Amino acid sequence: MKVFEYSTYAMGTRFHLVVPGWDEPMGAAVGAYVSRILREEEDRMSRYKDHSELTKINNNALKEFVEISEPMKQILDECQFYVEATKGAFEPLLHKVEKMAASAETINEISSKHQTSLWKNIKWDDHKIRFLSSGIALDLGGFGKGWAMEKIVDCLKENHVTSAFISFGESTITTIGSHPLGGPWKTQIPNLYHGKPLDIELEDASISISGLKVKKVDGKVKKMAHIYHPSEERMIEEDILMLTKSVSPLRAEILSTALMAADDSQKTAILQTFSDDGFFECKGGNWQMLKKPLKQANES
Amino acid sequence: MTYQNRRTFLKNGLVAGTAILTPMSLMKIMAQTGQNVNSPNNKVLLGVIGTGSRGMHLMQIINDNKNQNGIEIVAICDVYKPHLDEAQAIAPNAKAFEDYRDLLEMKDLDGVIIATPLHVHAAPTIDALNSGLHVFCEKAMARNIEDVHAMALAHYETGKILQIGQQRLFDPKFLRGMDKVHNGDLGIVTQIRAFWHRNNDWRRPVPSPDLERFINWRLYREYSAGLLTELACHHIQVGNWAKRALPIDVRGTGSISYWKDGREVYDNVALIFRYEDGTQFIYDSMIQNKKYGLEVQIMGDKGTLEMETNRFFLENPPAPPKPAGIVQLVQDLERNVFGSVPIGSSSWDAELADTNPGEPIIQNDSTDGTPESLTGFANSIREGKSIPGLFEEGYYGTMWTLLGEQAIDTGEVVKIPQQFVV
Repeated sequence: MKVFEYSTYAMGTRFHLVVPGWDEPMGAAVGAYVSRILREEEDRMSRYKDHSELTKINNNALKEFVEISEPMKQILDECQFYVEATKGAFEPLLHKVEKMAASAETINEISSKHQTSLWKNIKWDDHKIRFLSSGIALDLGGFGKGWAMEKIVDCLKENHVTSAFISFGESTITTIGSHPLGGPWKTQIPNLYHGKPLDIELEDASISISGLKVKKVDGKVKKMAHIYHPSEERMIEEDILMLTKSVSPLRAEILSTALMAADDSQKTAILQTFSDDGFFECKGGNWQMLKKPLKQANES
Repeated sequence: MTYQNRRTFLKNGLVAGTAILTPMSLMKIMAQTGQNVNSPNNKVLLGVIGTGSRGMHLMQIINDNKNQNGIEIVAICDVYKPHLDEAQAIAPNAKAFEDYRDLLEMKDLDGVIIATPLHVHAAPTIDALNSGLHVFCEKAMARNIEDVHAMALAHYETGKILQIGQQRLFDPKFLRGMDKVHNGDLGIVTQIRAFWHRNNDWRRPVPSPDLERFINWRLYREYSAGLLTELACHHIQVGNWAKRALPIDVRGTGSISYWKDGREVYDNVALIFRYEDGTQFIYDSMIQNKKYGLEVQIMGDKGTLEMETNRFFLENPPAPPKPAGIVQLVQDLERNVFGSVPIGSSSWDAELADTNPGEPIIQNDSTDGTPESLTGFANSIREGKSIPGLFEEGYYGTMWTLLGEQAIDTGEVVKIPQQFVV
């Protein structure tokens, strides 16, 4: 079988597209479209680029109204939906951990602070955005890959791709259609702790995994915290992975991040609200299913 | 080699001296500081003719880098007393002159630096060379092509060093960048774009109205070609250096579109230089918008250099390493095997930065090449010979700048007159 592959760096990680049945001449144009989407979205959402739209907002929105593009408005609207739907477990803001570390607030005080989330101090309409208090910066790190993946899937389908496997940083994986030899794509999430891997089948579906960045260096497992717990105002250092399976790569990414930061009530709300999606948790190297997706109950 | 022999050699064999200038030869001349340059025998004694802003800047650089260049400023000269007095503060032991011809008569002088306004570069340079002195002359070389050519003849006939202040020739990022161009890292270079944009009136304060033309000489055509000789000249030299060739012609337009304040030089210019191999070198300059600043973009089919900002971009950056799961998936598909894909983790920790923003041409970009160009000049004097091809870089940089001015003024496509090929 012919296979077209496209790989690139984007959004601080690596992106891989595999299209079975396609060859290089057919795939080259699609690869160029994908590349353009990735660059455009990175230029819009990256907080590491001096000239990105996000950087412009973060640098100026406290002082004045900042004009926003239509896609940025859509992004903010989407974020708003998920902030509400996850009861604040998803909050796309840059948090200052060092500030909290220096304070002596109790967990209760922090929780009450959470009720007045900084997100409420961001106001936008169709054309402009304004921060209503200081210390706010947007961070679309738990959103951008999923958003870009949605656009890429649409682009590939418009270009008659009926079967594809896409990995974005290995933490967000999307499939289009079924495996070319029939049936769903089979993935196996490795277990670095010698526990049982997790088998997941995907057909027009996505998974996203959040948690400590974990990799083996010289045979030893190395962990790096990179997700912030908004209600407790700290980096998440628990040895947990959260996996969400969804038809939407964006929803998968948002909810896997949100579950990492969610307290019990938020977690319950997420599992109930997003009943079509599947949720898995890995603690101490053991995967367990939190909830099966309603439409797909074929995970082992 | 005499001038006539050299001229025949170049015309028969090469387009111009640019072909024999190598970044390596420039690096070598800068690296000759292992010797004790400040020992009495190695010291280079220079006079500075023209102690206005640029002359003072060069003097300061010489003083700041004494251990590298071994230059002692023993004479200064300027017709404008306030400038001379300021220069004396930087070089208190230097003898001061108001007439450069008196300075040239000083004994034990090795050479001079000419940093006068453009229209008075030629006379002191030629007189100094004929007096047996080596000359470092600020760019551009002169106000008209006849003077430029006369300076070249004086250089060839006296055998004395004439180095033009094109400091990019000594800037490490330009040297490394040129290595990349000439080694083929950019592939086939077919277009160069350069620009220099500022947003100011380019005026200097004038203490008295009768000094307007004297102080603001850059704004009057009798003394300067404005943006062309003061800025474009730098990048036009770089374009020729990158191509290791001379343009076959130039066309252009110019206007005074914004600063309608009595100035005579264009505040908005555009030039296109065409090379034999089809390469286009597109240049523009203005002083009513500074958003894009200055840049030289050298574009080949494999990569792009942005020299001023020290960036190198590959057309096709290397692909990231494939995760094992993707490798296995592709192998399975190619063999029509239906396997499970072992993939998925919290996030791939990037081992390499995104290559899209390009990579630096050199690390530690900390100089514009001016200190190194002065050190190079001093080392050339110690060696008693010019760096091969260096003068010609400056010569053609200025020559094609002035031909560009002609193209704008006449609206014609201008070629270099044969008698001005050296």
